Amino acid sequence: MGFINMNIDFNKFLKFFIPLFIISVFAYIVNIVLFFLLPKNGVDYIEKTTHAIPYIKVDITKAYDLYPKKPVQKKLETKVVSKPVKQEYQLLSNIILKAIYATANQRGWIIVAERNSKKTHILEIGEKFKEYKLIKVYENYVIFKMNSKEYKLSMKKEENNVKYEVLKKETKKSPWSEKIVVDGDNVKVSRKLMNEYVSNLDKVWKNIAIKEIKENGRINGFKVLRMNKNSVFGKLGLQKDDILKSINNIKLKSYNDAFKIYNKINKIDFLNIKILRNGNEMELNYELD
Amino acid sequence: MIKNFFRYLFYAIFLFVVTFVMIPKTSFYFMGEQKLFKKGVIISNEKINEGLFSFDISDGDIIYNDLRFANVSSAKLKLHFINNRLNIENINIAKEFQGFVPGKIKSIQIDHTILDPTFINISSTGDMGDIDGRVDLIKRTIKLSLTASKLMKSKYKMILKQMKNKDGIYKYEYRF
Repeated sequence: MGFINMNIDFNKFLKFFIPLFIISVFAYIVNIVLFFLLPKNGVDYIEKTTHAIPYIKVDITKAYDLYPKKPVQKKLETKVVSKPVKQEYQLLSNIILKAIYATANQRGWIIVAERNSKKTHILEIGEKFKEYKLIKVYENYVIFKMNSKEYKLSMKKEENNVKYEVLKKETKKSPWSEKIVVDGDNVKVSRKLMNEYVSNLDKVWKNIAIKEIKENGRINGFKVLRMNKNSVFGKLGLQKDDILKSINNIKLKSYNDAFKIYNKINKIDFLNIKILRNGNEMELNYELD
Repeated sequence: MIKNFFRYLFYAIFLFVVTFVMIPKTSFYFMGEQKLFKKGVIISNEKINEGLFSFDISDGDIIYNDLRFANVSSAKLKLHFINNRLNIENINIAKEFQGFVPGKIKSIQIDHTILDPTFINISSTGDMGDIDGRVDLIKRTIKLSLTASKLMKSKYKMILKQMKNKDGIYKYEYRF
C-alpha cells in the first residue's frame, strides 16, 4: 500500500513541475533569441582630437617687409647723460584736425578744417594750410611749421573718429563699462566687457538667441535667431540671421566646439569670426584688450 | 475551475519572473543607448552591473551633441514586478553648463507601477529645489512642478521665466 501512495505523490510532483520546466525552457529560448537580436555593444564617446591652429593675427605687409623698418633703438645704454628734453610746441587754436592717416617715420596725410568753416582739406607732408606747413604726422597729433616755429595740432577726444565708443555708462545697475574701440580696421573689445558677458550668461541670452544649423543631420554652424541691436553683439557687427561658421579657425560643428571657445576666452587675444550673411562668407575680427 | 484559474495564474507569474531573471538587461540597455545616440545623447565610460532583479550603472558621463554635459554617480533600476524604480543619484553638471543650469542634482526617482500602468511618477531634489512630476503615456505629456531653491530664484531666472508660477510653485508641461 505504501508503494502505491509514493507513486501517486511522484505523479503529482511531475504534474506540477513539468509545466514549470517547460515554461522555464520557453523563457530561456525567448531570451536567447532576444540576446541574438539585440545589440552586443553600447555606444561610447571617443573625444575628437582636433588640432586647430591657434588664431594669430599676422600683418602680411610686415612679414614681407613692405613697411619701412623702424629705427633700431639702442638697448645697452648704461649711463643716462642727460634727461630727454620735452619738445614744446605752440598750439593751433583755429584749425581742427578731423582725421589722421599716419604711416611710418611720421609720414602720412591728414584732414583739417577751419573752426568757423565746415570745409575740409586733405594735406600731405610738405603741403601748406594757411601758411602752416605740415612736417610730421603722428598717431594722435601732427606738427606744422611756420616761420621756423613748430606748432602742434591734436585730435580732440570728441572728434577722435570713434576712438572710444561707450555704449553704456557705468551705473549702479551695471557696474561695468561696455567699451569697444574702433581704430581703423582694428576693433578692440575690452576684456572686462567680455568677462562680464562670460560670467553673466543671463545677459548673453537676453541679448542674443542662437540655434544650431544642421546639414545631413550634423551641426554646421549656429544661426542668430534674435539679437538686440543695441547690445554688444549688435555693436560688434553681428546681425539677425547671420550664421556663425567658425571662431579662430575652429569650425562650429558641435556645441563642444562652441564651448571650447567659451572656455578659452580668457586666454584668447584675437577673435576671428567667420559668418555667412545672405549666402556670402564674411569675417569679423576683434582684438581683446 | 477556481483551482485551475489559480494554477494558470501561478504559471503566468512564474513565466513573468523567469523572463525577468533571464532577460538580457545589458543588451536592452545597449539598445537604449543606440536610440539615445540618434538623438545626440551618449552615456559613456559607465560601469555596468547586471543583477537578477536589478540593473545598475555607475560613474557614467552624459554627452550631448559632442559636449560633456554631466557625470552620473549611479543609476539603479530595480525590477520588482508590481513596482519598478529607477533611482539616479548625484548628477554633477559640467562646469561649462553651470551658467545655464544648477550644478548638482542629488537624486532623481522614477517610479512605474503596473497598478497604474499609463503613468510614470518622477521626483527629484538638487540645487534647483524639489521637483515632482508625472508622465502620461497615453496623452504623451510630462508635467513638472518645481519648488525652486533660493539659488534657482536668484541665478537661474531665465529658466523660471519659461515656467508658469502658481502659488510659488513653478509648473512646466512638455508634450513628446
